[in-house]
Amino acid sequence: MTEIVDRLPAVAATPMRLTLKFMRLFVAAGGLLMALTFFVVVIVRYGFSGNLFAYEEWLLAISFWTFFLGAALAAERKSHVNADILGVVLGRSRLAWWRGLAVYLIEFVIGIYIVYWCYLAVESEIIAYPLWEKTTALKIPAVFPRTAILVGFFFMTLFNTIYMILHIIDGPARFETGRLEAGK
Amino acid sequence: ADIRLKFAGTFPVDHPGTKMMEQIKSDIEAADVGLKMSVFPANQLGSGEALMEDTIRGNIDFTAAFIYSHKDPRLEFLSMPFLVNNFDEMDSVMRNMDSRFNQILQERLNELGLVLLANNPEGFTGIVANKKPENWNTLDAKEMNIRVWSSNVIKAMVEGMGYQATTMAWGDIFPAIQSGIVDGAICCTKSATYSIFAQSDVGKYYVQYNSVSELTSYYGSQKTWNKLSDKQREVVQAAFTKASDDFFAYNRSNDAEFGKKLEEKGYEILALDAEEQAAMASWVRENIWPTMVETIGQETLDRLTSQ
Amino acid sequence: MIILGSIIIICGLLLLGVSVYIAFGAVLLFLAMTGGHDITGYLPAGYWKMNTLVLLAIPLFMIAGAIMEKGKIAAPLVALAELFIGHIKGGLSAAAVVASGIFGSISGSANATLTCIGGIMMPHLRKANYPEGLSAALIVSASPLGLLIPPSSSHILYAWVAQQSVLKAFLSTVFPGIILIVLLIVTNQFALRKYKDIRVTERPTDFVPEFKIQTRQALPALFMPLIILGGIYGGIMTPTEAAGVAVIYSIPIAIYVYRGLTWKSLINTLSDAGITIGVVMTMIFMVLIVSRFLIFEDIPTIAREMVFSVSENPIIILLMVNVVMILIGMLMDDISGLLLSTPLLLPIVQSVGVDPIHFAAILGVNLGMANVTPPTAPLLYLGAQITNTPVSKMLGPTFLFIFCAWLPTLVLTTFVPQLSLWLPNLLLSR
Ligand code: NA
Ligand code: NA
Repeated sequence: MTEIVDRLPAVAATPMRLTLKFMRLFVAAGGLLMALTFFVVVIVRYGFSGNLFAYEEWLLAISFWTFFLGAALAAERKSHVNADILGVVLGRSRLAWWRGLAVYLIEFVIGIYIVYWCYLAVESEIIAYPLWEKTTALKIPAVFPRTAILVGFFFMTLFNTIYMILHIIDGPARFETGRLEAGK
Repeated sequence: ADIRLKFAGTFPVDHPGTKMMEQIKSDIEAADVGLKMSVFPANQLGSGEALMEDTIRGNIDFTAAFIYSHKDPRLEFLSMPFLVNNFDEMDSVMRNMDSRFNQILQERLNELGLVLLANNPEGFTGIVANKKPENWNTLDAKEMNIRVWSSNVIKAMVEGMGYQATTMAWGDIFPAIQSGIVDGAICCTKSATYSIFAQSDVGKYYVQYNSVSELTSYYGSQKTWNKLSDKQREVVQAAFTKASDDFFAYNRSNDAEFGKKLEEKGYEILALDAEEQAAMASWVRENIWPTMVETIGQETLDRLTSQ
Repeated sequence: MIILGSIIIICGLLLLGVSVYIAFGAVLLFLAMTGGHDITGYLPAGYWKMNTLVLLAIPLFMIAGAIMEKGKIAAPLVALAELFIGHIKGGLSAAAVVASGIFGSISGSANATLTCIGGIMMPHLRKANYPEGLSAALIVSASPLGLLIPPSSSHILYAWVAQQSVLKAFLSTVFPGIILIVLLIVTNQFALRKYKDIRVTERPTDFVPEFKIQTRQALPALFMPLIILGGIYGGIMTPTEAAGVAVIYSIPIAIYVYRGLTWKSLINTLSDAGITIGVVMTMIFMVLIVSRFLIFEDIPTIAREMVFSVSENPIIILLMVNVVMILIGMLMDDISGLLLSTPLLLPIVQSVGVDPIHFAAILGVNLGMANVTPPTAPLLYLGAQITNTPVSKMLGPTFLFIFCAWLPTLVLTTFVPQLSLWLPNLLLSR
């Protein structure tokens, strides 16, 4: 776990730690399930001349959760791809702190916007009841995988916001000494 | 200012279905009623499911595609096997906008926020295969693994006909048949078989069961429809009806044509005679139709079969 | 207007250092403000595009890569390459390039190639007094071989978007990959001339027995390309299935044969891979939505008209297309770049008679290079971490390899179509 947990007040740190742990386990299991399913598909096809009927329906639905919980964890680790060239050039100067702040603010605003339209989509899906969109064979409601996208972006934005607050608390002076690791 | 309509489709770029989309565009624009149209063929804006969803929302105004049952399982009546048996029945059941079939379809689509404009039955979906199925004209075991799409009805039917069924997405069919992962696929009309498989020298047999019809529809967004004036609606409806007529005439006259083209490419066409066809149809009606009640509802089934 | 606005937003935000997915999110905000879209449709648009088994090949290749890395599956391959050329000056770094190529036939990703080969080779190179910046840059520049030598997750994506044969797309970059290997080695040899105190390993006196031992060691690893490529080309599995089988095969190999992993550390490896997968799939999700809305605005047609208004000469058009792709590649990672440029550029090159499989190779080389060219250069930054070398020391040599190896490869691939078409036509036309 990263500083996001370490620097959180104890009340928030414990549920956060548990959430992250759950996400890590889910993502690991989801990846293994993906591989195992295809392995079994091949075995069943040649070993038993059989077929896993409509396995793509549940596998894809679960995979959306794997992908977007993984993406949430990536935000907690600050692993999302960016062009870090300015970071290399500016080092740990005051200017770098201001650039970090600008980046955090933009990511905060756009992040909230993304969460907003994800929410709109999931909401419209839910209120369409009883005409819920479902998969053809197994009737898995589309709300299930789509909620994964909403939850994923929600956590990405949440983690990012916490980093932003830590960045502001640290301020340019402490940032420059490099004692804290909140800067991008 | 003119209203710019977005018209999306799933036919490949050089498919006659796409040419029809262009015809609709030019007919509507030529009427000069303040409408312009942009055409997006070939899944450019997404698959049939995605197009349906965005048409409901009004992001897309009109769509030419298969109507999936993901929004309403009762729509699965569209792929009911042996509902029609030949092109004449296709015309009277699927293209006649006053038929029970189309009344039901219009009701269902209206509930979703869509407007049905016309239907395009293109022909029957047959089986493309690399090897000749044993007992292909009876219900006995065929020793053959074919691809089906994720539909309980189609899977049950194909297995009842003696095939082993493997579910597979549309995109995987071509490489799977080419490399032999499956022996064949239930997927395509003769013309599609010709353009997708035969021209690339894939496949050797076309088994013609006149069971499931390949049916695409022209439908529009209720939101867009409400915005149009009476005059504009009239022009739009006329353009779609005309295209549907032309497309059907083309498909009807070319079915035999593509059969010949397939044979020229070295395909053997396995077609049931009238007696075998009737036997298979009655088996499906007795054994498969009752299983559909669960998804499409008894009421729909009754309305469809009483006509 | 919309094109210009979108370009300015993407370039500006990426240069500032905003995450790629956020930059695309900003474009969506901009599109919502200019056009009359219902933004409720954004999520479903991305969802439908992503809802396909074909795409699962990408996370699966990433998991396989992570297991190979932690499972030390690459080590015997490196040892084998070293055995042949380790005793010549520069041989050790050449071995790193060759090993990247061999490893490319197992792995479908450049990241996995970089972490596996870089992690093993860099300590060896340091010990033998090889210059650190140059060597790290070489390893980074060679890592896209993971994509050029089949299998390749970006070619799976390309075939999916462009509706082409995956197998042909795979084979299109085999020769460009080999050319790149040669050019990287030659360039590196020249750059090494001024370093006098490089140590070479001793030529093994008993080469044949040593070779036998090393080959036996490497056998379980070398069995992987047989499963993956044999399975795909032999018509036994789809590429996605092959990727899944590769993961399942690599687990016991990593745990019981090479003993790099335990069942417990496997869970950590899987969840770390899950994080990388999350990063990539988020970008794919956002780019798919953006590219769909660019099509909505008829941008491909506008782009095409712009290109043809400059010239209708195929050579000039190919040059322009390459320049555009290099620019896209500087700003983006390979996956975002591929998803954005394929619908935009394929119709343009097709109308001047370029075969889509030839374009797969052009795109493959371009996007391989894209991962290495700053400012958005995920492989460069990852390479800096893995080799423990500051980026500042790597920048100069990286540009050297881009100019002397990557660009010539790109030019040859672009203007000699036979390089990319000969092999797929030979093996796959029936
Ligand atoms: Na590879
Ligand atoms: Na780049």
